[in-house]
Order: sequence, then structure tokens, then C-alpha cells
Amino acid sequence: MKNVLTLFFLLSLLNVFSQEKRIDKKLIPEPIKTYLQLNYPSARGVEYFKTKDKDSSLYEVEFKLNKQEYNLRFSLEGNLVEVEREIEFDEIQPSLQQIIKSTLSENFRKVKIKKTQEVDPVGTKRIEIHIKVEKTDKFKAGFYTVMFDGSGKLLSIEEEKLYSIESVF
Amino acid sequence: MTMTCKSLILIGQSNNLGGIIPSLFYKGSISNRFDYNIFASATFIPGKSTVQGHTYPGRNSEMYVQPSFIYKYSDALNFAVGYTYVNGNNFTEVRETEQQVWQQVILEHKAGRGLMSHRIRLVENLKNDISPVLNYQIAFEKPLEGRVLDAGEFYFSAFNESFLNLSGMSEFYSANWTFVGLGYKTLKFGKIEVGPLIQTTFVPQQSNNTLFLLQVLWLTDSRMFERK
Repeated sequence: MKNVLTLFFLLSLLNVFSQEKRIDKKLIPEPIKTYLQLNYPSARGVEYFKTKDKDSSLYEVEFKLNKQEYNLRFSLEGNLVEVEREIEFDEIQPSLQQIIKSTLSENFRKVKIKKTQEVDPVGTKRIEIHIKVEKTDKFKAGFYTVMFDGSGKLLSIEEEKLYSIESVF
Repeated sequence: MTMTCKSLILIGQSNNLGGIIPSLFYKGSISNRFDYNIFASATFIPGKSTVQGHTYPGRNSEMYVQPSFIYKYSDALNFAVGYTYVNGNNFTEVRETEQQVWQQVILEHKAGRGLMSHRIRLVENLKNDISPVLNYQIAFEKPLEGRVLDAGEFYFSAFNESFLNLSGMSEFYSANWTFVGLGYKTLKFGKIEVGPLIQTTFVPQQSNNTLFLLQVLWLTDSRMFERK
């Protein structure tokens, strides 16, 4: 029994570097519960996490609603910090779609849109597009994350780092 | 007559051995598209063991070294070619060497709250009688806290691999390996996994040869040497 307790103690010491923890709904501050109940009453499969972002800690809430994945971030006091929602590219308003498409084709060749996300850090909406492209003079063939603001202005282009799948033997 | 008796004894006989298998998985990056990997393991059978009437003292029964070269088509789909060197005598009197070349495709996807991968590998032995083997490995890894595996967290890891012999020289379903373990991701030195690994070989006219091993696996990569 003593050995088991020692083992658990050592394991808990190893856990101090942990960046993210799944937590129970009971441990979520009341303002977050109220916000979710008011704004997303039909959310299903809600999961709660406590995460570390640089030096600050946050609460993260993930759920699905109308087949879309939502990720909401709150401060420790329960104030909404950011809403991230996976959407279909076609859901973006047509005029904005056109601006984004023409910016993408100006910069890349043979663009395939893999994923679209609407990121809303309270009040300043951004659109994050994950694309696969072929080689041009400016960019290597590969996967990129391209960020636009709410009016379609290009904010950033970042090549996605690929990691190989670990497989032993 | 003696030969006949020995053969009769071998029919239906299973050999079971227990041991430990420290393993190393090292991954390095060549570019955003290519990686290389070195996998190595050593099987130790610590106590006395009796195989086919012969008693062996504690021994290093197998050495396994496998370099490979990986093409990352995407995060979810990789291709690889590699070479495997195996030298050992787990269940034989004479130490044997096998050299193999192989090619594989591996696909990964989300499953439940974890990641599942499917690996199909075509292996050819570099012997006079080249005997192709098709391996299928299904693996699952799941962080035990949170959605992604961060440093300082534990995770569950498991795989099952089936070996299908295509040559017709031996059993079609020639071997099966199963691993179930608990892993821990360190801050800088990669991951450590510990758990039982069962390696069963199905031998014609005999039941099977099974190794019950405790695998201690260290998975690391070139980032270990990076300075902050």
C-alpha cells in the first residue's frame, strides 16, 4: 500500500508541466455556465478544459451544434475571450468569398480548401483558411494557414509544419 | 525412429517465454516533407528457458534494428521505405539473421477522443527464397488528460499487428503482435511507454511460439538536441 501511494505521489509530481486538463462541469465558474445556457442551449457533447496559454490560464469549452464544432475560450473570471467555429467555406457571405478566393489565387496555384474556421476574439472576426497548394515561385507545395479579417484583408500566411505519424516496429 | 519421436513431440507443442524488450524510436526531420526514423530493440530472456528440449541460460535472444525514410504526404497520410535487420534465437538453437526491405503506407484519423492509425507494410526477406509478407498494424493512442498530449501528461497506447505470409511456404497467418501500454510525455526528452507486448508466431505442425514481453519504449526525436 505504501508503495502504491509513493507511486501516485511520484506520478503527480510528473504532472506539473501539464498544459491542459479535462475538468468536470462542476468546476466551471457560474458566468460560463450561464453564458452557455443563454447562447447555446442546444449544444450537445459539451467538454470542459482548463488550459494554459503563454502565462495565463483559461477555460475552454468544446461542443457540437448543428454539425459544427465550437471552441469557446473564457478567462478565469468567466469572461468570453474567443469563439472559434468550424464552418463550410460556402457559409461565408458571397462577396467575402470572392475576395478571399481572388487573394488565394493571387498568391498560390491550384488551391484546395481543406478547412475553414471563423475565429472571433470578441468583436474582431477573423477567417482562418487551411489550404493545400502546388509549388509557385513564392511558395513551396504544401499546406498553409491563411488568415483574413472580417473584410477579407489578408492578415497572415503560415506554412503548416508536417509531423510524421509515429509507428513502432 | 528418434527423428519421428521428436517430430511427434513437436506436433501440437507450444513454446512460451517471458522477457523484457527495451526499445528506442528516434525520429529526425530532413525537411517539411521528409523525415527519417531509427527503431531498435533488444529482447532479453532473463531466466533459464527450455526450447525444444534444450535449456538456455538467461540471454539476449534478439536484436532488431530498423532505419526508415518517411514521406509526409499530409499529417494524416505518410509513406515510408525501410530496412530491417533481425538477429536472434528466440525459439531456435542456432542464432539466425533476417534482413528485410519494406514499403508502407500509414493513415491516421481521429477515433473517439484519441488517434487511430492503420499501417499496411509489404516486407520482402533478402534471402534466396524471397518470401513477401504483408503486415497490417492498427494502433490507438489517447491522451488521458485533455484533447492533445502535452508535456507532463500520461496517455494510453495500444497496437495489434497481423503478419500475412504471401509465399505459401508457411502459414498464411504467420504471426500476431499485441501491445497495450501506458505512456508519459516528458518536457524535452520525448515519450516513454511501458506495457506488455505479446509476440506470437504460428508455426506449421506446431501450435505456436509466444513471447510475453515487458516493453519499455523510449520515443524521441531530433528536437531533444535543440537549444532553447
